[in-house]
Amino acid sequence: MSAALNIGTLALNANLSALQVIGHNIANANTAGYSRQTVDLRSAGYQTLGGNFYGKGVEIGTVSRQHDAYLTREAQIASSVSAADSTRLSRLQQLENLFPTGQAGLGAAVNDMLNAWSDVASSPTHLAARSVVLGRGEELAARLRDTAGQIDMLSHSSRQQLGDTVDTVNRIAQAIGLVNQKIIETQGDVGKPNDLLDQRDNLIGELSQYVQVSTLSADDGSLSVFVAGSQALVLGTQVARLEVRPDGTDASQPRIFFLQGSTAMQLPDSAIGGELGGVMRFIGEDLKAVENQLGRMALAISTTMNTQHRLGVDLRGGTGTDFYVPAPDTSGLPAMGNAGSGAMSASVSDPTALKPSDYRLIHTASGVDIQRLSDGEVTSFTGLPAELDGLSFQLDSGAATVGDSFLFKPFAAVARNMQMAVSAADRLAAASPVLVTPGSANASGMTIESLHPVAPSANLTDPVTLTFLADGSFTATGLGPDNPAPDNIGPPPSYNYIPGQALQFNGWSLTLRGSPVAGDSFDITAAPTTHNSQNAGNAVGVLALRDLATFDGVSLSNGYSAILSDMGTRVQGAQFAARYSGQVAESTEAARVSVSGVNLDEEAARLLQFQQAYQAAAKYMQIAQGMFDTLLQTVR
Amino acid sequence: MRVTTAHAYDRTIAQLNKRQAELAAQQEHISTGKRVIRASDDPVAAALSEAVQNRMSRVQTDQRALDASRTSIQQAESGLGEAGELIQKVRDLIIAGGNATYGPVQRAALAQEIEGLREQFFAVTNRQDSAGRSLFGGLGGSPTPFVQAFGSGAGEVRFDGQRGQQAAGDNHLPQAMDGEAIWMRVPQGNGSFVLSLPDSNSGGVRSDAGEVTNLSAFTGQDYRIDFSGSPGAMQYSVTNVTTGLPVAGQTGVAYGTGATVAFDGMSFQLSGQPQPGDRIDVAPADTPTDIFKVMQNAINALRGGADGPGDAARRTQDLGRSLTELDAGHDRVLLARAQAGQWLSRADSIETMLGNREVDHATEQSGLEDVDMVKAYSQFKSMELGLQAAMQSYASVQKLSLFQYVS
Repeated sequence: MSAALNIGTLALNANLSALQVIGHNIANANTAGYSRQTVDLRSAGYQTLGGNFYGKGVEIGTVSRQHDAYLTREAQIASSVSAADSTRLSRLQQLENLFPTGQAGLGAAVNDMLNAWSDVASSPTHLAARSVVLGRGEELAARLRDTAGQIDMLSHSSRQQLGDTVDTVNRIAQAIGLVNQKIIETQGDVGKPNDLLDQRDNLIGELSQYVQVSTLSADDGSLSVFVAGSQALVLGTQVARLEVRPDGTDASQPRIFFLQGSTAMQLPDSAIGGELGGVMRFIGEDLKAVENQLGRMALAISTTMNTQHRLGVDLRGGTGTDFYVPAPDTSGLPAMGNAGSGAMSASVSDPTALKPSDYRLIHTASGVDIQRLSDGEVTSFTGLPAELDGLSFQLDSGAATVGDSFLFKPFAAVARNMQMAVSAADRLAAASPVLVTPGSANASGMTIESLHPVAPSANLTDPVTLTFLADGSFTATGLGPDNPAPDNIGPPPSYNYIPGQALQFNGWSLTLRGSPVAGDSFDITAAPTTHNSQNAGNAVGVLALRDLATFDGVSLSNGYSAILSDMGTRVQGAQFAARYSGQVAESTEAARVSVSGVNLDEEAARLLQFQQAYQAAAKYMQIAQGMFDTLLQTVR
Repeated sequence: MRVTTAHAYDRTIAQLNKRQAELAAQQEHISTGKRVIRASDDPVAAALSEAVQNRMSRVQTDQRALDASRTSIQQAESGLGEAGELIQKVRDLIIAGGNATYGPVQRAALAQEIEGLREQFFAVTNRQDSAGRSLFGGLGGSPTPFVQAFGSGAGEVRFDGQRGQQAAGDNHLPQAMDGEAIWMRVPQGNGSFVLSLPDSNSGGVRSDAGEVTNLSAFTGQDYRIDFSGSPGAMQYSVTNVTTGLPVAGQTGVAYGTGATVAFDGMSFQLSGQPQPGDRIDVAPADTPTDIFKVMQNAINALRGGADGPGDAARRTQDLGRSLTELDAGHDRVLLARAQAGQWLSRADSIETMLGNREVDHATEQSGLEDVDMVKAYSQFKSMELGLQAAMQSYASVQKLSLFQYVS
């Protein structure tokens, strides 16, 4: 009899526990990271009575959480990748906003500046046209400065984000260590501290957003967390730290360091992952590339404009000065371990050959190796100065020993420091230092399209006479060295003439039109320093710069479109990556949740199930009691 | 697959967010009318469109430069027209000066009038466009290319500009004309040789301007024609001054007024009555004169001399020569004017070309970055419909719960 009451009690207790777990599930239906718990019921065994086996009822096995370690792991990794991609994308989109298209863009400013010289060429006497050139030049410089400033701000806020993220990572690591501690203390033989385990998984999931981790569980129930592959951020209850520190060579470049005790170790940027990895990639890759492109555009424009402007003559008869304040030579940043005392610098030798990249120079036994960091290509030189990509690398002072290395960032600060050097309209060197005079006996109606200086030359203003021969070619007298060899050996040696094609000698370029008659001559002489208000030769020279192949073959006026397309491709690539990894993260999360999550309909069904079982057990108790009563009445 | 309640809600919310973001982006494309707002919308189109924009601003710059050139050339052309009229007036006055009945006073008045016209003419040649650029300065040089010399050589005009004509390019025009070629290179005499009378002549003999009849026989040397004999029975002899030899067949030829003298490829007609000892000099016209000097010579001729037969003949001779040279100068002005006219008509065709090019560029740019409204709007509508459907289905699904049926 008492056995029946016992079975009833056990059943009531077991079903009540199950209902309690269901209630817990329903209560936590919307709790992030909560894993659905279930009760395992099992038979309470049997007793032998008269050779037969009688069951003793039901008892609670374990309360376990529905959890798949592999799916959880996958979801964590996927969310790391997705966080890295989406962080980089949102940063890139901010960066992209600094490079608008059309009239608002830098390309329009470059073209406005160059095209403004057309009005000076049309009316060299017009001071208003000259003032417009100054205004447009300043406008371009201001836009470049502004864009560089915005990039700086973006870089600054990214660095701040790095610091904040690292703080968060350290905080979460601490929390994981504490939870590990609690789990070790409370780990029982049968039941598991499900909610603590959930809390730890949740913390690791949160950590995965910020940095990619791998985990390893130990027998005592603790879970160790590793960053960058093998650095133990949390080992049982011991917790290490991450820290942001400036790069040893280039202080403007932040690095993530792993700190354990007193030892610090730099983590490779590519192994970090998560938001932290996304920001590091943005700073180290995207921002640097775009900054270099912008800097190259600024450097090429200021250098070519300065060279052309210095060739001209201003309204007061003075030789032209720099148009923009010239960028100073780039100092090489010595690496931390350099043994030698050498100081190095790089200067621009050919503004049309520049590549948007940083460079690393290493002294070797046979000379120097220079590595272009954008694509990793190494070029070896036997000595200094070394010329690479339009830059000339030289040793300024001291001596370098083998193994010393230097980092060069030739474009980092150019756009930020872009300034006009010319400020007065009459100082604009629009006049050409050379003039052409047709011979007084010229019989043909040959006309002059343009004569302007194109390159600095010691012989620029030397008197030169071109005399046409009967076959249409011409001889030239008064040419300095470094001029092309005559096309025809002669005698007399002569050059071929094609109407409308520029003839370039001694640093000037002359374009004639019309067909020559034998004996026609043209004298090129230094222009008188007075009367240059009607002379707009150098303005025409500046206009010719518009088509100068400067940016890997792209003309000076189209340089911005190269930045735009690179920027656009970068953002588009990041969009694709973020979309893809976002979808992967979503589906792995869905897979994880489909095991661990709470379905209220399911809980409702189970509620009914266990409620009915409870009711049945209660009824059973009632019947058992009734039977007991009947028995007692019979005895009375 | 198990659907879990909280995640189902999360997913629905994420989906609705995503659809709303897409709708907003599409709406941005429609409201700006641009398919490419940021470079990442289509990097290739953005870069191409940037290049087109640069070409377009180049075309606009070229158009402005063309307008400036055209204004200058128009002003130069009207200046040339004025110069032609002034030359015509001077010509009329010179012809009037040849009137034998005029005395020194009338001639002085004519001379003064020509002097006034010459000053006007001088002002025309130094004219500048509205931006201060000399219209006839050639390739540059001084803003006032024609300079009147004073002191020694008074009445002479110097060219201070830069000789040479700027070329008309494919899409631009010159801004100034070569004043030196127009006014400073007027051929002397008939262009090949000059006939002049020395001051010592006392007779009334003079010549016309003459012409070259046989270019291969023309020597370009100096000659003199000496008259001898007695009035009524004059004869002349031609001597080559350069070689010092008499010209064959031209010694002691009997002279009558209206005689045509022809030797060494030259031919000219003599008229009037010479005195013995009178002379006519023949000099080659190897250096050009200028139109200012031509006018000055006419002025000097009208002012100079008395009324003797020798003076009258010399005056007629000098005025005749001035007329010939003035006509040659006028021809050069007409030539320059024709050139200016041709440039102006070319300006029209260049403008049409630039205009067409601008339209082409605008079309190209629009094709690259503008949105196809019909397509974009229909996409927008279908997105809108999708969002509506998502919202409705969410609303009806979230009503389903087993708890509703548990009582």
